[in-house]
Amino acid sequence: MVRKKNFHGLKKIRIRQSWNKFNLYNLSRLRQPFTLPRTFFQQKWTAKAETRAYHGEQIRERQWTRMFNRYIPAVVPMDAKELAEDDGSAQGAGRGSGKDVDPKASMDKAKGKDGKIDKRKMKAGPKPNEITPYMSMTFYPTEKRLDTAIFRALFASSARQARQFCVHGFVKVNGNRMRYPGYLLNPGDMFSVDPDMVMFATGDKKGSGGAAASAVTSDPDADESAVDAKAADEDTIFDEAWEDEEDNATESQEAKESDREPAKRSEQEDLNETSAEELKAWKKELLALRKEIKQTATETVGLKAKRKQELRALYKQIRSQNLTRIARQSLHEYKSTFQTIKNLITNPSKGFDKSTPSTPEPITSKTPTEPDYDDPILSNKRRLERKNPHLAALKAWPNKPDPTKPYATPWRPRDFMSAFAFIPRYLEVNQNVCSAVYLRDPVARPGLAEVPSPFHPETNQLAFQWYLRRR
Amino acid sequence: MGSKATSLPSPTYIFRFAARPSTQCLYASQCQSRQFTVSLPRQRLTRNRRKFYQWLNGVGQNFKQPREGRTNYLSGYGADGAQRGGPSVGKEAEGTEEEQGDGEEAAAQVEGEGEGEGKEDAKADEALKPDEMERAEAETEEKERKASLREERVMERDKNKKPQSTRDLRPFPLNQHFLSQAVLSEEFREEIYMDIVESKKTVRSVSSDWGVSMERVGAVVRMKQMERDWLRQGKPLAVPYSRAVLSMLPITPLVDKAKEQREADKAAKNARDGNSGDKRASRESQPHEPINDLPVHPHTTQQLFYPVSESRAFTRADAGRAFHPKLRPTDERIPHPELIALEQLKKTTGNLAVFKQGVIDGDLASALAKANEQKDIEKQTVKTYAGHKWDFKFHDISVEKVGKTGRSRAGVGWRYGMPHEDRKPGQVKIPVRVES
Repeated sequence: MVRKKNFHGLKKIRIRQSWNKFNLYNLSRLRQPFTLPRTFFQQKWTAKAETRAYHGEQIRERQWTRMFNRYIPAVVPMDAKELAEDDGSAQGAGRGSGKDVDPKASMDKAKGKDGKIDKRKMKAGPKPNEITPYMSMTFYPTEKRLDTAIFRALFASSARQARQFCVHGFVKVNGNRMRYPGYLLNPGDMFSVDPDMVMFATGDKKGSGGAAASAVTSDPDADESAVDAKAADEDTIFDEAWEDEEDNATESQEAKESDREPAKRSEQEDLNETSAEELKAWKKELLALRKEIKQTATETVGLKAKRKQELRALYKQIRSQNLTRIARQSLHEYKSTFQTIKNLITNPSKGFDKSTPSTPEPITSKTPTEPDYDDPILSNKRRLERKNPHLAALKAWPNKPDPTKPYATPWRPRDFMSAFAFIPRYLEVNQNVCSAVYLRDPVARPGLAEVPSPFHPETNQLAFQWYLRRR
Repeated sequence: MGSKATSLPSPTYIFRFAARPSTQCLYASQCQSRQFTVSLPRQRLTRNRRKFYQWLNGVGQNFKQPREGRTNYLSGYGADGAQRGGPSVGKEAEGTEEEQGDGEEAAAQVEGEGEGEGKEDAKADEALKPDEMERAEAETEEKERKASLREERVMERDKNKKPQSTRDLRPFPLNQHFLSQAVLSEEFREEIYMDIVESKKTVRSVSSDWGVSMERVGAVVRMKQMERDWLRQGKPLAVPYSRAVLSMLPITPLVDKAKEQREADKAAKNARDGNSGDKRASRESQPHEPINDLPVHPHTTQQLFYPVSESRAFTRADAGRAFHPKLRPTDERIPHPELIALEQLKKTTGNLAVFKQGVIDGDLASALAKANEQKDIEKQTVKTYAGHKWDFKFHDISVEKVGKTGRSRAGVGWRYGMPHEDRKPGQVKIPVRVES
C-alpha cells in the first residue's frame, strides 16, 4: 500500500509506527477525544480511524477485519506459595462467595504496633486499579506480523522500513530468508535482520554533526573517546575528499594533522614549504598507487561489483588530481581509502580494518579515573567479565569510524530514538546479532496490556466495538 | 529551555525556497522559479508548522538524545519540558511505588553508567606478563575486598533510594496500561547461557532460579550461541548498537546470589532481634518476570451458576471441572507446578535438595523419553534408502489426513473434486511456518 501523502501531517493527528520527530510531536499533542456531543457511531468511527492509522496502517482493511479476533489472550500470574497454602475452597465457602468477615476482627488484624490501621491490609481481593485491560489488546493480531515484530524489536525505525527490509531480503526467519512482511510469527520463531541494515536504520545519518553526538555515544573507551570525537567527522572528510581537493583543510583534518606532527600547519603552508624533491617523490608514489589500484581492480578474481565501483571511483579521483599540487594529506587519504577497500576485498565479513574481536587490542594509555566500585551491580559485572572472555570481548568491541558504511561512524543512535525505545515482553531480543525470538502471543494481565498502543483505553475499546459489530 | 522555547524556526528553513539554485531553461513552462523575481515564493510555514518548530527547539530537545541512565519517554517530562520526578526522591515516585502490585516494574533499572571499567579490566588482564601476575592477583584480591565493603555501604544507602517511577516507564502518556518493561542485561543473558551450557542445568530450574520464563531462557541460549558462532566465523556483531539500545531501556541487572543470601540472612536476623527492619526486598532481587502465568481459558470467561451444598469444600479443581469436565486444575496448568510441591515440602521436614534433584531428573528423563519417542515414530514411518549422493526418504502417508472436508493442509496429493488453486489470482501464498 502506498504511503499516504500526509503521513506525518500536523493538521489531523495520526500517530504512526515510526520514530519520526513529527510523530513524536503529534504523540505529545494527542488527547482523549471529546465525545460528549457525538453519537456512539461517530465515536467508534473516529476511534477506528485513529487506531488503525497506527496499528498496521499498511494492512488493508479487509485483511485486518479477517485477522481481528474477539477472543483476547490473557493470563493471571499465580503465586506458588499461595497455591500451596490454599486449595481455593475458602473463596467458595458459605453462600458461594467466601464467608463473611467480621469487620471488627479485620480491623484488629490490620492494626499495626503503633495502633494505626493499615488500609492496604484491610482490602481483600484484587486491587481496584488492577483490572485486566482486555480492550487495550484489540490489535494483538497485528503484533504477530513479521514487519511489526521487526519494528517492535527496535531493528527498524518504522514499520514501513521494517516491511521494506523484508521485501528486499534482509530478513531471515529461523535462518531462512523470508520475503513476506505479512508472515505471521509462530511462538518460538527467531527472526534476524542484517546487522548492517539495522545499524543503518537506527543509526545517525551520515554527515550529520558529530560534535554533539559523540558526547552521547556509548563508547566504553573513556580514553579513546577524545580520539573518537575527532574522528566522528571522518565520514564527512571522506565525502569532501571526493568533491574538492583544495578545500579539504577542514577543522577536524587540522586536528588530525596536529596529532601526527607537533607543528600545526595548514595544507597551503604545507604546499609552500614542500620542496620540489618531496613533491616529486609524492608524485611517484601517487602514480604507483594508481597503478596498484588498477591492477587490483582488473586482476582480482571474484571481485564484487561494489568494490570494483569503489576502486574505480578512487582511481578517477586520483587521475583528476593536479599532479603539481599534491598534498601529503590527500596522498595519505588515498592510501588509507585504498587500504580499506583492500581489506574489504580480502575479508568481506570483517568490514573495516579492525583487529579481530576476540583479541582486543592492548590498551595504550591508562584511564585516569578509578573505576566505580560503589555500585554493587557493577562490581559484580567486573567479576563476571574476568571469568568470561566472551563478555570481555563484547565489552572491548571497538566502535570505530568507517567511511564505507552508509551511516555515521562511530555508530550512534539516531535522533529521537530514545523516546520510542521499548521492547515488549513477548519478544526476546539479542541486539548483538540483531535477532529476536517471538516467545508467545502478547497477553493481557492484571494492570498491563502487552500490545504497545499510544491510545487511551477508551479509544481502544471503541475500536474494538467497531470491529465487533461486523462479527 | 525557556528562552529557547520562544525562538523561531531556523532561518535555513524559511529561506530554503529562495536559496534554490537558478537553472537555465529553454521553456518558460519548465522554469520553476524565475531568476528576476525578487519576492519570495509563498511561505508554507503554517501555524501548525511554526508551533512544531517551537516545540522542537524547546521541549523537543529533551528527546533528541538519550538520557543518561534513565528512560527518555514523553511521560517523563511536564508540558513545559521540565523533568518529572528526578532520580532523587519525589512524591510521585513514592505514590506509584505504593500502588505497584508486583513491583517488577519498580525493579527495573536503567543500566548505562560506567561501562568502561569492564573493558579496561579485560584488556589489563590480557596485557599482563606472567611475572606480574602474582602481584596483579594480590591487587585484585585487595580490590575485591574493598569492593565488597563498598557494596555493603551502598546497599545501606540504596535502601533509602526510590525506584524509578512508573511514569518514567510509560512511553505513551495516554495509555496507562502499557509500560516499557525491563529487558535482561548483557551479563544476565550470559549467566543464563553459562548455566545451561556449562553447568548443564535444566531450563526449568534455571527459569525458577532466575525468575525468567522458560521460553525466554531458551531464546537467550539460542541467540547467545548464535553470537558465539558469529564470533568464530569472524562476522561482525552490532555491539555499538546493542550498547546504545540497552542504555535506553530499563534493565533487569544480574545480582550476586551469594550476596542476596547474605542480605536475606541479615534481614531474618533483624526480624528475630525485633528491629523494625526494612521489609521491602532489595529491588535487585525482584524476579525479571512472573513465571507462573495461568492462561485464561475461554471456557472460564463466562459466568457460571453452579449449585453446590454449603457443607461441601468446593476447591479450585472442582471449579475448573464445573467450567468444563476436561479442564485441568490451575495447579497443573501453570508452567511451574513443581514450585507448589516445593512450597508444600518446605512446611514438612522433607529434603529440599533431593526433591529438586528429583524434579531435574524427571525433567531430563521425560525430555529423553520424548526425544526417543520421536525417533521411534520416525523409524517406523520413514523408510530410508541410501543413494549415491543423497538418501532417499519415503514417508508413510495416510489418506485420512485430508480431513472431513478434504481440504486440510496436512493432506497430500491430488484430491478428486478439489482443484489446486495456487495459480488463481488472489491466493495467499505466505508460508505459515518455517522449520528451523
